[in-house]
Amino acid sequence: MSKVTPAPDRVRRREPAAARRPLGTGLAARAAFLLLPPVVVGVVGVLLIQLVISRFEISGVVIPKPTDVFEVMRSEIFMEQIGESTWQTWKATLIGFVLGAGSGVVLGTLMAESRLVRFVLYPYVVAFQSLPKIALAPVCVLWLGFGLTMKFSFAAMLAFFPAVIATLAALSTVPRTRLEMATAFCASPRQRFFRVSLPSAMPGIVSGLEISMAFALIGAIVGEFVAPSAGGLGQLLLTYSEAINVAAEFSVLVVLMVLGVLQNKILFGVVRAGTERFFESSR
Amino acid sequence: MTTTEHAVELAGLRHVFAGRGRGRRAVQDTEAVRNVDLTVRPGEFVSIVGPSGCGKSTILKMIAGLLRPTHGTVRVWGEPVTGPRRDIGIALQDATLLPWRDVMANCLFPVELHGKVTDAARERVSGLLERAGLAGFETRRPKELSGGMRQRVAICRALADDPRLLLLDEPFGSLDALTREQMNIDLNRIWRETEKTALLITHGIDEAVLLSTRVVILSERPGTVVEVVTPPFPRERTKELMATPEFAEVCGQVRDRLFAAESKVGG
Repeated sequence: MSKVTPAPDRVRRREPAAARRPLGTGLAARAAFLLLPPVVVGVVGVLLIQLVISRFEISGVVIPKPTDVFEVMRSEIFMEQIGESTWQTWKATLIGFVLGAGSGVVLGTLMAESRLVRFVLYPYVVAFQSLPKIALAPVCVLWLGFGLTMKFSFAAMLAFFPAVIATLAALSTVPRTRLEMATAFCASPRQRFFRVSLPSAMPGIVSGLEISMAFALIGAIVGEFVAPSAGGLGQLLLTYSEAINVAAEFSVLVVLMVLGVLQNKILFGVVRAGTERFFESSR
Repeated sequence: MTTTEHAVELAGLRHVFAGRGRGRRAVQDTEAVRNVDLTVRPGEFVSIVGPSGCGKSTILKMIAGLLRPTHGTVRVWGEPVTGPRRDIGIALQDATLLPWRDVMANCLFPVELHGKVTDAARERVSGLLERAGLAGFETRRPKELSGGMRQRVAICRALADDPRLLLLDEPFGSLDALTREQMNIDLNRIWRETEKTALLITHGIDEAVLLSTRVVILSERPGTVVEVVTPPFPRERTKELMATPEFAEVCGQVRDRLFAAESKVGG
């Protein structure tokens, strides 16, 4: 949160332009400057791997050459398969995230606001969270079959807990003096929740949702692993694996990585921008 | 019922914080306040001073309706206090501004809770901010303000919905001496201009004498009223007043009583 919100200048307070933009003249120049080092490191790294593999004649079954991976990614067949699979995986991830994180936030809120609910449900939340969720996959398949329902349910299950815990923690750590202030000004419980607690807890909840989103993607992929006819990137990985097409497997991994980055950074970049004002730390 | 309506009336007030646990790690019941009788008349500025932990804030919280007294009664404008009241404005030790709201929106918070924000309310808040030396800062967020400015915003917020009674719980406790002095002068002016009744909790003797029409001295815990000192100064208080021997004398008087109260309990 290094960005300073530029307050409308009613009061004369103007920093010199140079102080505000130390890195260049425009946004593009600044972005280029920030992106340059990681891009250079990435390119050098890939070249190095390529060189090592060629030099020591490592088999493509162990580690594929970056050029081979690139080749696969450019091929028409891969492009076709990957588009469809990515959509299927992401659909499951998204539905799972909305259902899981949504109900997680609701449950976390109920637990934070009601002692009774917390008292009764907390042990079960902890117990269920401690369970390795992958162990539930066979049961899920048994109940929900091999289709989309099973996948998004699994994704929802993984997305659920980070949202519950983050919401509960964020709402329980709202400064007490802040709540007391609202109470002293006759805030109703409802007003106190929506005007004080929830905005105060927003940063914590959004962080929890980010984790939920990443977990939902894991859930969708795992779902596709245990139920291969479900389609998606997980299935694609398995198919390539059986064909010992390692270069194609790596291509899928690259796509997964991009997908993960996109949904976490871009999507939450937007969410964070929308809730930016709640992230200001101040007493 | 009395014929003259008191702003605040405390009778036989006692508060005990319940202990917890058993055995060696048990925390015993703590009697914070014992038999406090006190009345604040309309238009007065009363300060409560006392050693730390003597239950000053507890008294304020009971008046604000945040805490139920264990024994005794609290009346505000003649009515028994059963919960927070709309005609009370409060400012706490911590400014407790909402960081996502700008100065204006923070000040309008109580108005918003009590109903709709009208243009009249906005105008009143603008006036308050101007009087508090915060004109032009309406759109700033709390983090862009200094500690003293935040406290002034908190006091404006307390006054925003035009309360009849202003409760202040060490609002300048965390400020440096110089800022604090300036704030006291400002507060005195705001109090005179808005014609409110005010009750201030503080451990600053100078502050209490400078601001108050009456200074109530509490003993160590359990706090009880040991003395009431009436500074013989006009309502308008200035920095110059603080340099006079009369001012020093009253402060000395309060200080003596305060130490006497402490040693009485301690010895």
